[in-house]
Amino acid sequence: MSRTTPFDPPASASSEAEDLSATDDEIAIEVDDEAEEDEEFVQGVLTGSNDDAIDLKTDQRMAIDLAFDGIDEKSFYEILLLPRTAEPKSIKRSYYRLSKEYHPDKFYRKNLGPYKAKLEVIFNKITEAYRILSDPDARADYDELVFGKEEEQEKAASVTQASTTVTFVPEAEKKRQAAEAVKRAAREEKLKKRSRPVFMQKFGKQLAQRIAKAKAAMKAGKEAAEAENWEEAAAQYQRAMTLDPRNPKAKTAYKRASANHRNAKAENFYRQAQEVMLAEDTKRAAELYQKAVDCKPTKGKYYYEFGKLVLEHTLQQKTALELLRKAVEFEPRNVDYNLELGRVYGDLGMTSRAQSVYERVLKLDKKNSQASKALKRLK
Amino acid sequence: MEKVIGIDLGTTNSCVAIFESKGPVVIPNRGGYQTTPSIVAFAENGKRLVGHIAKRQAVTNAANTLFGVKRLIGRRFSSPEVSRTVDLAPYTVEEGSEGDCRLRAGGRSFTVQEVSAFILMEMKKIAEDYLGEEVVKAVITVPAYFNDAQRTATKQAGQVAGLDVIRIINEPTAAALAYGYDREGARHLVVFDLGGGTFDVSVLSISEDVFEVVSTSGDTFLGGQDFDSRVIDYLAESFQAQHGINLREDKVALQRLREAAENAKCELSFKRTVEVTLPFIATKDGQPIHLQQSLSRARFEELVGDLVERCVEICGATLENAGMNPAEIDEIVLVGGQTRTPLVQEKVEEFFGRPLSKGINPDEVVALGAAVQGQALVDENMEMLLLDVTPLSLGIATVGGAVSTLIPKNSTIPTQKSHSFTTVHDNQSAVKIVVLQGESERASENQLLGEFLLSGIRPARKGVPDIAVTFAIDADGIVSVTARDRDTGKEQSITVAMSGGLSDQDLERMISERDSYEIAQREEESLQELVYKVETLHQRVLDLLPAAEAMITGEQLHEIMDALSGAKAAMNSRDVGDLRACFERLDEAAHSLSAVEGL
Repeated sequence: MSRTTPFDPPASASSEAEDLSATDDEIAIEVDDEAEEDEEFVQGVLTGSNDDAIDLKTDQRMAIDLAFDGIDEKSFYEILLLPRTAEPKSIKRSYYRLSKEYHPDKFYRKNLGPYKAKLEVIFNKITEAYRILSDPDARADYDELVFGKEEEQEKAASVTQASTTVTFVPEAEKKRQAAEAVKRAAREEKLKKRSRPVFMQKFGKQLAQRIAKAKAAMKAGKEAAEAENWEEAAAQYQRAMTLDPRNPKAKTAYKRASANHRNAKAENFYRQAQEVMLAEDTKRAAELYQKAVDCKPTKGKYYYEFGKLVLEHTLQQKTALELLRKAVEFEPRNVDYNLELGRVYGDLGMTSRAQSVYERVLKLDKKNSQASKALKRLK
Repeated sequence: MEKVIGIDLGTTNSCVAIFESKGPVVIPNRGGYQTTPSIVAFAENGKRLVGHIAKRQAVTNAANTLFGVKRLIGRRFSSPEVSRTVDLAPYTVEEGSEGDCRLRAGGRSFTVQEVSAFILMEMKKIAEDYLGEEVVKAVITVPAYFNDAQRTATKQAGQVAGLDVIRIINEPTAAALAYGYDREGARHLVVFDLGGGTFDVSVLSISEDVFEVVSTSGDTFLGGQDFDSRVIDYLAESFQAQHGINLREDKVALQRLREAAENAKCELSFKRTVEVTLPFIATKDGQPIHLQQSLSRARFEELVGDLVERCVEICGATLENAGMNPAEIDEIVLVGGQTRTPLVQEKVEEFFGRPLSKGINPDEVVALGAAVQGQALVDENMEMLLLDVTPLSLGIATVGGAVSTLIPKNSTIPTQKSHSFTTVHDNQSAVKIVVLQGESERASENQLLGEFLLSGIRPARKGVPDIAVTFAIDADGIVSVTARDRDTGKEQSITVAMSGGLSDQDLERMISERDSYEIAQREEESLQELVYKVETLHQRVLDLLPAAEAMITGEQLHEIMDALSGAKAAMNSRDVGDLRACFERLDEAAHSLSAVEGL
């Protein structure tokens, strides 16, 4: 054989590596052995510890840990949280939803510590699962391999074949491969022994834990809601939502609770404002009305009271006008708000605007004497 | 939240956009144009010109006007694509020390990254002028079919321009984002992107705010410039047949021809026939001759028919890779100025059997999409997620010149794959891995991505060391390699070095040159301001002098005349110290003169 050994030390190799055609003789040999690779990689990742510098919330960490733990033991169906009978449509939907949770872009430039590698593994795995399960042929092969009938001989044959096709295998690799073959055989044995219900049980157990936590959070949320503790309710529902993102109830409950929480907060500011007004602390009252408006920017009442305060205690008629306009914008059928707005328009000499406001009041309440008097005066 | 700009760094034109509260918007340049020519020129006085101002002087300064450099970025000087550009370019392209391309202009040699950086700096400045604040973060687009070297070089250009390139995104994907980011409903979309220099086609599946690229393909050397070349050849050949003069040999004539060809092509998008008139294009026997030639749309379509056919072919192959047929596609988006040609639209419509989606300007859609992606990365409230793919298979060369594929094309990124390597000699301390990108089974027919050297392997008998090498493609589509000794588990024990491309020193040099250029630029601006101030004051003193002359002493007059002539000299010499001194003397003179006048 005239050819030199597969790879020369680079000192001599570099000189002859002028172009690609010359690289024939200096190639390193690869040994394809993905499963082992990933397992070792995973081991390395697992040694990562908790770190407070990590920019992840507890529930985010939990979600990542939950998806990551034992990912190599899971079937592609378990990884995508799907039953074996899943339709192509739901495979795609599940992949998209999980991608939105675990794609590294969703944690862009955050300090993730050991979670960075975990996310990479998870995303790699869900993508692989999706790729296989969305291709009918590949899915059929996979189903047969993992869940199929006894095929011991065929599989043993494929293992030996794999090692003969490799031109050069390092000693360590040979040993590792042998060990791996034994391990794989054992694993496949185990898989085969499992009847489908057992598999479903295991799958269920993983999910059940998560669902149970979500349910507990839903319950706590409901209790808090009944006690009208909206802040707590919103927090609990949010937890439930993160744990079980496929539960639409949690999402709507969270939205409702957080809306209520905001409303309650706004109403509270409003009440405080009225109290300090009694003590004639107008500055503090204005601050509180502002907060109420910020909390719930669609409530006419807050704008109205705020506007009246500005009107009566400051010279900022324009600001008052803006606020009253807002009040009428959100509650156009409120006679009091309209009358006040009309009055300010009148005071500012914006007669035609004032007129149309008063006309609107008369449409709402035909016998409103204040409006008809004001109209007469304006004309 | 920090602002992120999206930049479409095009072959012929570039565009910058930003995400505002209502959605992405294009930022116009100082001239009010939405796009800026990707042209860099060096004027006779050494001044660097970018954009429209560079384009305007291209005819008179062809040898120092660089355009279409995107066709060279990340390519080796020896590649056939580079020779094709070199043959047509009026400027000089040389081979750099790393086998890369260098461009000669303004008496200097530049890397392609630097020239691209000049364009990016201009785009950055356009955005900063509009926003009134410094912008650092950017998403830059590249053709989907760009390989690792081209992507890396583009990212480096961003670095040289002082940008933090938070993502490199594929142009057709960006277009899809611009079209679909705010719309509901699941659908399949094809983006047909025929730009100035490159052709890309991508098939996407969109639902629930997820944009999944199913397959992508293209040709990085097929674009509007090739259409122009056909017209140039046609015009030049008929001129040669008529007058026996080859216009392509005269750089100035070729540049005029190039402009005329591009204009004719554009006009043929809405006219049936155009007249190309280039007076005084050449001289023969001391007599000036003019080029006058009419070109009909039918003739033009004949000239470029095979180019369009090739686009449609690639389109079909991409669809096949995606496992879809034309009828399954819900929407077809056209991107790039060259898609304005009626023949292109006609053929694409014919292929898919349905009308094309119009609505967003094909010149702006890519930059808009880049801005959307930038926002999605920094804004946690944005639900959108992009799942893009690698356009080329990644493999390593094996025994006998074959390729072993590690990551097949159209794999969703980011992705990674590990493989084992060992030694063949006792106590061998290093192993070389040849990494390739491309679809050919023969190593030599693929793009050489790099030769990675694993060194620092601990001494052992041959075949014993077991080194796990992980090949990763990140979300930018850029490849990285890490190695780990499986027996010791030490990541650092093995070093990986990649050959080719720009070294860190090169990059640092370019960055420091950019800094000094900016400093010089600022100095120049403040000098000009000072000159202007001295000039104004000089004029004011001259204006005051006649009325006040009679009321001042001869000594004072002498003093003032002296200050005036000093100022004139300082304005000529442009010496900062002299100018400042003159400014003060003139200021004093003006004061005393106006005081006298006031009496």
